[in-house]
Amino acid sequence: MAVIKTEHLTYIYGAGTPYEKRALDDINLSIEAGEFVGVIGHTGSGKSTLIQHFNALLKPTSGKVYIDGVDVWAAGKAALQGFRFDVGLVFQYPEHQLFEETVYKDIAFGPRNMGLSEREIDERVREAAHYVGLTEAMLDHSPFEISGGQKRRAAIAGVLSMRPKVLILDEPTAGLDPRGRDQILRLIADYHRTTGSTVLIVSHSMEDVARYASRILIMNNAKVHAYLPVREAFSDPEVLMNMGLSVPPITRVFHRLSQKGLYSGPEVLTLEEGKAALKAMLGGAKDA
Amino acid sequence: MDNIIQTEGLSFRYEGSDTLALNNITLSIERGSFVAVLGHNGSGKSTLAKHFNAILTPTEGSCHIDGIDTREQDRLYDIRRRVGMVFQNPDNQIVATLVEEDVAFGLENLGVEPQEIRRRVDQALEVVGMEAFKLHAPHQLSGGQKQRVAIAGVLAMRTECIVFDEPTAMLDPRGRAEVMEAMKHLNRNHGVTVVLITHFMDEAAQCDRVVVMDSGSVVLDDSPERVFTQIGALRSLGLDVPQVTEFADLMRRSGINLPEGILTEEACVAEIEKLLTARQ
Ligand SMILES: Nc1ncnc2c1ncn2[C@@H]1O[C@H](COP(=O)(O)OP(=O)(O)OP(=O)(O)O)[C@@H](O)[C@H]1O
Ligand SMILES: Nc1ncnc2c1ncn2[C@@H]1O[C@H](COP(=O)(O)OP(=O)(O)OP(=O)(O)O)[C@@H](O)[C@H]1O
Ligand SMILES: [Mg+2]
Ligand SMILES: [Mg+2]
Repeated sequence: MAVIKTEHLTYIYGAGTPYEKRALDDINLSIEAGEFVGVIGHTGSGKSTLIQHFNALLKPTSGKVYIDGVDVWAAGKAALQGFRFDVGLVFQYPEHQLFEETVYKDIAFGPRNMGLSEREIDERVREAAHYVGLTEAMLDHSPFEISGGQKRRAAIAGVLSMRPKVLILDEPTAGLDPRGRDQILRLIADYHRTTGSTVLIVSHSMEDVARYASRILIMNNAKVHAYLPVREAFSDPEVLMNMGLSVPPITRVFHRLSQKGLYSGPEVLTLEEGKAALKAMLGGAKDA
Repeated sequence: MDNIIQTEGLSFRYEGSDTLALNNITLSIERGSFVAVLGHNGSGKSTLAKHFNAILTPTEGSCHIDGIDTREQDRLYDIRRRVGMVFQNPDNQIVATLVEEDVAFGLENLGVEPQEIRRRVDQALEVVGMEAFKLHAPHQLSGGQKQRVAIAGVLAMRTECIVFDEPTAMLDPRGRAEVMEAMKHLNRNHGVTVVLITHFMDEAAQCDRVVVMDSGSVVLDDSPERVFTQIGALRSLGLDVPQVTEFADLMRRSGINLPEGILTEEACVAEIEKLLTARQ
């Protein structure tokens, strides 16, 4: 079943002002429960605006959003809070999410709103902090006096602590060091696998979405350009480049090799696939 | 040697903290060079960068900008006229209610003529591809758009040295490539000294020199070719190498002889081509 569905979703910022901006234009989407979706699209294409509709932070200018089959804006005020617990959203700028005196209190904020007991809150905070690689000592710090990457971990922990059914992360690895990036992506993949939840990651890293996502949602100028399996999404670098996007470096390498007539297999998306492909090419050359 | 930035035994401790954020850093940045600074989250990159335009001053040791000690409070203007800075989070940099005012802000503070301000603002916005947003409110921009405006604000100042603190973190692939090109252009054609703090190894690979920080200290300082062959060391520092470099390493470890020092896609394609020809 579709866990998120939109019908003719349109969103206009500053309607009626001279700076009116149609950020989403007639979006019709259906995302099945359990998918791991990579959301890509040029700067300003509408990614952040779109996902804020998925946990009822933004209200469509027109059109509908359904979560688990329920029309979000017809369900009544009381239901809105529930959608925000079910669909956890990590913002693009962690600063927009951190406001408490300590990192601990920030991570505890969601579970507390959910009405959990102090004991359970404490358990979830420590678990989430550990999960994202924040030390116990870091929990007592002010979220404003830690480094950029540490802020991002804290923001992610704050959403994981609610154990959402749908986890949406807006550029979760921006600003993380390579080890942190791998750690966070692995833990998201782990969360996806062990909980069977649906995950959406907005990312400008083609390497990361190629590696982790099963489907790709491509946004372009306020519209959905395509929603398709990852391999198909990266099969035509030209098309992506024309939209300000790209393919992973390793994909580009094999693409060039095939343009030179040296490679003729399927699209290479990861290092492991590249290794297998190159071994096959060399093996083939030797036999010939 | 002609150094625009020179630190000597620089240590820094944030107030109330019991650890040093920077520990005994002696580093010089040559005028006209293009230097990448890498390091894990919390390793001290931004803290160091903030010493370069006197937002922070050393707890111990010294930091000189073009020979000026950053502790000389009354020379602040002279320091900031030499070193501009693009902050890690553009939200912290945005001060005005219109994009064009925001880009003009630094210039007004430098006392530049209104007409000249107009010219420079338009030009800087054009360089980052944001001229159409001149009259928009900065807080109504997307993440990547804000980042572009923050970059324009510093370009407009025309300082001889610019410190970019993760300027491409929120940009799409084209935007990243464009900002990288803009930095190279400033460096090559206008002699601007560029210090680029980044978590993208492929960006660092395009600089002249790579400085690697770890827990407040500088632990590696060499050419990209030499830094990125130390894959094990980089990994243990929480860092990485460009994807094609990693690929070559992976192939070498499974007995296929791609050479060390492959940093770009072009080099990778060329080396694979050589291998194939050799086997035929
Ligand atoms: N609060 C706002 N008021 C007016 N316009 C806005 C506002 N927020 C975003 N916009 C505009 O809506 C469009 C879509 O913005 P959005 O933030 O959804 O883009 P995005 O795809 O997330 O971009 P990025 O990759 O840069 O984060 C942009 O053109 C932006 O300028
Ligand atoms: N305002 C502050 N007050 C106290 N400690 C701080 C403050 N800002 C940063 N720190 C601490 O100083 C150390 C260095 O932080 P800094 O921001 O320089 O790291 P960074 O290398 O830029 O990291 P990142 O890659 O995450 O941006 C970190 O341990 C951080 O927690
Ligand atoms: Mg966004
Ligand atoms: Mg930093």
